[in-house]
Amino acid sequence: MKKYQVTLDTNATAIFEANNEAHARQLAEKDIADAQKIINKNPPEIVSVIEVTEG
Amino acid sequence: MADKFWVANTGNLNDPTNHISLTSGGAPGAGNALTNADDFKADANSGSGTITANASTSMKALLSSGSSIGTFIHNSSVTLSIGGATPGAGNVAFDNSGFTTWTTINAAASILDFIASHTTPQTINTNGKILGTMRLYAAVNPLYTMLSHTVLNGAYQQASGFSGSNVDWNDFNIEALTYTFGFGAVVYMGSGTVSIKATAAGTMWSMGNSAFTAPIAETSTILVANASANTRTFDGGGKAYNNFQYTVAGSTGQLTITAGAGSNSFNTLSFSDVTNARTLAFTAGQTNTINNFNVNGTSGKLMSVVSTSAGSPTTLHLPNPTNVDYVSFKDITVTGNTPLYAGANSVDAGGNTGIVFAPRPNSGMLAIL
Repeated sequence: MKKYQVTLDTNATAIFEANNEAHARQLAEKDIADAQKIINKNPPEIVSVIEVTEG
Repeated sequence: MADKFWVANTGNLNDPTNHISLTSGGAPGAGNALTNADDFKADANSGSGTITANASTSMKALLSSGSSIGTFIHNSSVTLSIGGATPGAGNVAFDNSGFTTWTTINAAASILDFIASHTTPQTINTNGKILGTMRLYAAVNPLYTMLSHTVLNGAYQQASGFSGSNVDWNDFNIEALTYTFGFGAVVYMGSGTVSIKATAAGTMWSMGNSAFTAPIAETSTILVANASANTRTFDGGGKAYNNFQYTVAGSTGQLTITAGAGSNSFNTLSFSDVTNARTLAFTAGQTNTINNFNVNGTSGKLMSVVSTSAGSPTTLHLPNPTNVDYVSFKDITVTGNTPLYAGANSVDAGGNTGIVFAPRPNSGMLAIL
């Protein structure tokens, strides 16, 4: 597993442990989708997925 | 973008005709109503008396340094929306240092919103005055840094919807009735004490589960400040905290700790009451990691540590050797540095794993030495 920093267009960031960049993006999209079920507004967009350390 | 100055002594904030000028000490005008492009300034040429915020108003910044006006009254059902497309002068969003008195009429309905739509860091100086409800959110993530102890008799809310926001409490104490952190909220908690003042039943702390929501605990202490007979809930959102303390005497109300979809961690969890028994409940099926489990009762006044669902255990992961006494455990699974020694005066109410209801075997060695 590696660590990836995902940044949204709101400038919010989060670290995800993932197998690769695509996996990290998938995890972030799920996180946002889970929140959207509660918030019920247009979700933010992912603007970057960057590996930050070797896991 | 403009500076707009309060003039001509006492009046209402929505009365530009008589009280808002484009120059310090200048003539007011009907066309000078505040917008979110304006820094609102009370200065040495504002006269004397009181400014009353009698209607919801937008401004880019509220700046009172050097104000000759002594009192600002924040009426009920009035929201002051502070923030615009650019930061206030000197990157200050709110400077309450110039008013001698800030009067909040209604803790829940006198609302300060910080809604900047840029990313430039700004400061908030409440000057320790008692405010109502504070909400900090933005379309992008500005960093607000507190320059003083923040005292709210209403709620503290950070982020709304997907707006996100970063706030640095900057090692100052903060007090609020309740705390809510939405998606994308990041709070740097510093070394201060975070007092939760709510006494009503319900959730007094709500931290979103999202990975984009984060308390940066640093060396802070979260304090349940007031006694209550009601059950209050701390929803940690599965995040990491430093110290958590519920030791206020005479408070019979249960504390429920839940972790959303994750697992909370605490450096130290202190839970005790010198005057009565009380219950600490953890959500069934969840895990809380606690480095220092500082939970102790006294004779006839046991602390009860339970799962929220009878028969469905909750897990306490205790990495360090742990001794307690005068505690009743029910449906608690202890992992980590097991067993937890519950002393000679605790009660096994059933459903427990990893707990020995006796003193730690060699605990008398120090007395011999």
